[in-house]
Amino acid sequence: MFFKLLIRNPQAVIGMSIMAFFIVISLAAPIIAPYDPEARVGLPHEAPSSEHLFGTSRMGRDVFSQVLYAGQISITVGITAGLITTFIALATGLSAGYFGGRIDEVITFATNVILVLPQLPLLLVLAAFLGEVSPALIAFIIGVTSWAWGSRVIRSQTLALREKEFIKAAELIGEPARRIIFIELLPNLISIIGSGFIGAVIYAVMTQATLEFIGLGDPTSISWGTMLYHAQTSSAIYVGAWWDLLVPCVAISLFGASLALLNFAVDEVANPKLRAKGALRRYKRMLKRGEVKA
Amino acid sequence: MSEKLTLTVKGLKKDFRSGGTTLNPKKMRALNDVSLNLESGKALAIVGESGSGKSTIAKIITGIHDPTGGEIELNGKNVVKLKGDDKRKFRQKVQMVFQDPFASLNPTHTIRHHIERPLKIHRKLKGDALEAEVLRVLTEVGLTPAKATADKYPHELSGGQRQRVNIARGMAAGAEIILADEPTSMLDVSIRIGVLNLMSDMKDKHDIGFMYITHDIATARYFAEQTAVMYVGHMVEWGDTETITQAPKHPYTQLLISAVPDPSKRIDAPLQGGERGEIPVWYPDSVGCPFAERCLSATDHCRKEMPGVTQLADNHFTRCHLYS
Ligand SMILES: Nc1ncnc2c1ncn2[C@@H]1O[C@H](COP(=O)(O)OP(=O)(O)OP(=O)(O)O)[C@@H](O)[C@H]1O
Ligand SMILES: [Mg+2]
Repeated sequence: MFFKLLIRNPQAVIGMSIMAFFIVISLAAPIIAPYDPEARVGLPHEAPSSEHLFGTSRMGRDVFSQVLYAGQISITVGITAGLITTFIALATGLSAGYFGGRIDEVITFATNVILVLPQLPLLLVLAAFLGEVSPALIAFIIGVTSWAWGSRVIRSQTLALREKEFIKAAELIGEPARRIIFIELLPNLISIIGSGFIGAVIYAVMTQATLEFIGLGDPTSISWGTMLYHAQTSSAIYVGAWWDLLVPCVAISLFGASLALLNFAVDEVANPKLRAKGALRRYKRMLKRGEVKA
Repeated sequence: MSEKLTLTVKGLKKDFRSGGTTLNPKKMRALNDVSLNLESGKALAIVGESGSGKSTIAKIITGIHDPTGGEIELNGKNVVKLKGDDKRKFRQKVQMVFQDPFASLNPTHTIRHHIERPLKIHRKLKGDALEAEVLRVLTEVGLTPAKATADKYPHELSGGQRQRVNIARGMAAGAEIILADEPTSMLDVSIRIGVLNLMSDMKDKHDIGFMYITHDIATARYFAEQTAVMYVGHMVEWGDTETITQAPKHPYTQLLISAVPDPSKRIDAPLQGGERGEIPVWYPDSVGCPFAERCLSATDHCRKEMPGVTQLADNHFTRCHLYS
């Protein structure tokens, strides 16, 4: 059924395929990669050839093997940071929205503090302060600093839902708060949570690359960001070794794009109204009649 | 059903905040001195224009809002501010059906979920017994084939069917009194009678007591033995439905009924007649009769003093200076 959904939704299918492709080749790096990504296996900056598919780096390492292994780290950091972000956003947003009062005040205050702090400079300061930060630490830092927006969105949705008659009705039949939150409210938030998660992963992958590119990461780890960093410091572009820079760039962009495309599927998977046959057409009709909001 | 239940509301008051600042809030009085009785197997219709406080009564009884003043008793036992187990027991007995059938079912869950939950919470049913009861309740409210209905999502049902699910949910909990807040107002005219008949059946066969909130005085006559007419948070005339609809005494009730020459017409359009069409907002410090501004028979006395309750007949009461 899940599959049928996606077939009707080509953007989602494309996004899904690209992402699956990335995940598979990264996981299978030890099998696919022709060389050890850290070994000197050729001359510096050899152009792409049958021997070195994407050429070699300044250090004479095989770029193809590197980009595969780098995927493991970049994707893991992205997903980990996305999970942390989503989890914090969900816990804070739901509690603030459903319980209100004191709890809401405290959480809203914390959220606003994080929101007014400019994100990237904050990360830069943190990373610079901590020195060369490992990928795990990067994931953690991104995770704990970027939940505020998602928390806001979930809170306001929860506030709106809480006043809905079906929530009142559930309270009246005696559902405990825990069940109201997790069984009655949460499923109505799935599409927001899903697209929030996807957005957080994209953001984390980009941010990690940025931090590492400007040299705040751990240069001995292999990720798309550190590949860019090494290419940059070895003036790859000046010496005409475009592949050294282009390959990690394309990897990042493609992966980000695949996630963005995947976002198109989230609504359909989450909304039982849309799961039926001819969902998209019906969705558009409902949109017109104002029964659902885009 | 074992013993008869009586739900008594005495002198209910409710103030809502309407503007002002946090330190100096301005309040409006949505309900003032409302007293009524609900009994197993009987129906009380609450009739009044939009904003007269009908839903607020139901929401206070079920605990969605706290009362500002007054008492609510179930068989003589106070039920305001119940906690824990007592609250659960009260909720089991007194359930509410909301006005909007499209908003009162959770779109992410099947109909089975909606009926199962009260059965699990209040009657601790499990497994086969649970499923059998779900199907029985759905069949009882006319949602057949029950098995197919149980597997559907709310958006796959019509408004009338959803309202039946809402009634079924109350039944599943084991409700003995149901507060139905305009249960048919959002349904097509053609299916209203079906839902009304269902409630009628439940009243007669299962001895369930109803509070039937409505704009539609014709259906009140069809369904409810007792009627109370509300105006701006006040009960202005109440008693036996036949008397009130056939021989209304309060000028507002007379206006209401004369505005509906065709009994199938609804009265939610703003009423014409009276001196001015304005419906006032009531404040805690307002004085006089709330209807005075529109009343053709109003005197200075009416504008200065709230009329007391006059008993006109055995089961017929009004609040009007014309009769005191
Ligand atoms: N939560 C609230 N906060 C503030 N004011 C409220 C609230 N709920 C109701 N009111 C006010 O109380 C008054 C009575 O409202 P209520 O919903 O009980 O009317 P009603 O008779 O049910 O009307 P309708 O026929 O439109 O449903 C209205 O003036 C309304 O604006
Ligand atoms: Mg109402």
